[in-house]
Amino acid sequence: MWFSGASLVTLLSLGALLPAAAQTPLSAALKEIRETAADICATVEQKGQKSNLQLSGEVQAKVAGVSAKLADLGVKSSGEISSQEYQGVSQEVLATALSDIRTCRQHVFDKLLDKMIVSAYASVPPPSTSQSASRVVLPSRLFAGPHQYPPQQFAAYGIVAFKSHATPGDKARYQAICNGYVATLLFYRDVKAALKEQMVTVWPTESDGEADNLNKMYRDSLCSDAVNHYGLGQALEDINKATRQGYKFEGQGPFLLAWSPSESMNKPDALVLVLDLSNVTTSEEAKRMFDLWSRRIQQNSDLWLPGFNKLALKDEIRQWADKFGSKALSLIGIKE
Amino acid sequence: MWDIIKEFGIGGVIGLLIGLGIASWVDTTTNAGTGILIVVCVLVFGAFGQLLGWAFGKKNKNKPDDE
Repeated sequence: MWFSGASLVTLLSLGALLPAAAQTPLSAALKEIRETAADICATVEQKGQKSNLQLSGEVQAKVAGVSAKLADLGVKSSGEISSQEYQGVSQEVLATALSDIRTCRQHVFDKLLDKMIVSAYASVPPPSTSQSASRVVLPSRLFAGPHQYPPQQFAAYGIVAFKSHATPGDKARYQAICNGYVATLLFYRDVKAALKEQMVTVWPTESDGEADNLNKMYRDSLCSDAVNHYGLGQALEDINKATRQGYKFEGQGPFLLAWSPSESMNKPDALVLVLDLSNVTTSEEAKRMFDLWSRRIQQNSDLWLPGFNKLALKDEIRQWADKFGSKALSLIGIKE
Repeated sequence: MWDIIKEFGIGGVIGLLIGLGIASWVDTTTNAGTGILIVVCVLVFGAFGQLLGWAFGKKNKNKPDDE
């Protein structure tokens, strides 16, 4: 196994982001990339017998080959680009391979992964023309007790939902995730935007007083208390609510759940984003995942802000059709 | 269902296709849900087609005969 730590974290993040159905083609794609990296390095090792031009041509052909295979596997790849662009990819891969023959396979694998998959899945797309600066929701954080949750006045809210309290064996992991949380997300009062333009991610606590204390503390010293007084009741309630909306929580967690507040009292809030942090063990990984979470919140600003919401429209139509379909069809004489 | 579509002509066919498209987009969970969306689309587009047909038909009838 010659993955670097960074590749591994990237792969874990991709696994958490992709829909379950996409994971099988993704593993096949990773296998293809791994084999291509080994193949390229084998070619480069024989470079004494070949000119640089020949070598460049061969690397280019291999990159083109893996790009086509990824497309066949149905994996969205930034390799599906113009020939000019992928010539650039081949040149970079060749340069990487030539510069470090000893760890060639790992470096070429990293480069191909970055160029062909990660950039396609994890990059932030440029803002669309319809999404003006005023239509951006900013991520923030808040500790909240049972009576302070869900937080009011925010565009939307989320929760860091663990499935259980920390035990002496996994306390370090809980603290690492808490450190990532406070290091990546700004406290809501430090965000330069009104509350209605913020999507706040809540770390629940056992009591409102504890939450108030944590909100006043300096971020370097609060995670021990935040883990010890974690509000498991609220987290489990949210996990159950999300399960009722059809989401399956199979990993050990925690899960980041984002809710879009319902406009009426008799309708439940809608679960709109989920990120699985089951594979996170260190603060670094936690920071990466919370960074990804922040970016996803900003990319999906349309979900939180009032106005036309495609997802809500879809839900409305589906609920209406499923609720009245049977009755309406029988009224006009069509049997199901 | 086919009788309704036949009655509404080309508008009905367009409505059927759009209804199927909407049902697949919203991902209805029941057959009745899919059915009602198709029926509504066939009715709306069929009626719209009939209206257009009636308007153009009427216009053509009002045209003076060239021969």
